[in-house]
Amino acid sequence: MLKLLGIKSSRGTRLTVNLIILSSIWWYFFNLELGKAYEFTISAVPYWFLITFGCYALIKIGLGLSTLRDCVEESASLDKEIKEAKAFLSQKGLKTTN
Amino acid sequence: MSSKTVGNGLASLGVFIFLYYSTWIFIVPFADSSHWVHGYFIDKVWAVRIPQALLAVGLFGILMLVLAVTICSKKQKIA
Repeated sequence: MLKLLGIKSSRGTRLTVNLIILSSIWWYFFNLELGKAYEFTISAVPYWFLITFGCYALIKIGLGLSTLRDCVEESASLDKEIKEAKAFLSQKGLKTTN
Repeated sequence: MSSKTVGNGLASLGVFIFLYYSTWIFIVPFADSSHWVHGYFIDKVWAVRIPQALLAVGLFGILMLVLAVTICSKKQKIA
């Protein structure tokens, strides 16, 4: 997610560079030794990232589901077209499972 | 059970899990032992063990899925 720094790079390259930079920042803080409370939080940050990513995916899916709109007439016309195509093809000799 | 309610339910569940876990990791370790937040959270070792378990189960599930699909497609190729 770091801005494409003017250098042409593939998605994979940018992903690995971002991962290396974030991991080294985390590693630096991990070895800083600030005290017992900070130690727990810093060591748990990778798990926090994992949970946050999971929650982000959940929210995205949920919002997409709730704002999806039903197209009733298009669905009906699509069903009709499928029926016509099946009838036509079985006439020509194609076997269908239903 | 329309898709709208399911969608909103999933989204609010995601928001709740995010907020709960964030306070668990970033706020609870720094509060005094007599502060009221501690009543809402279990021992913070579980804040690490639960994601570890989820990760293990998830990776195992993905591995099983990949194996199953590979074996199924191999069977189809032989037959």
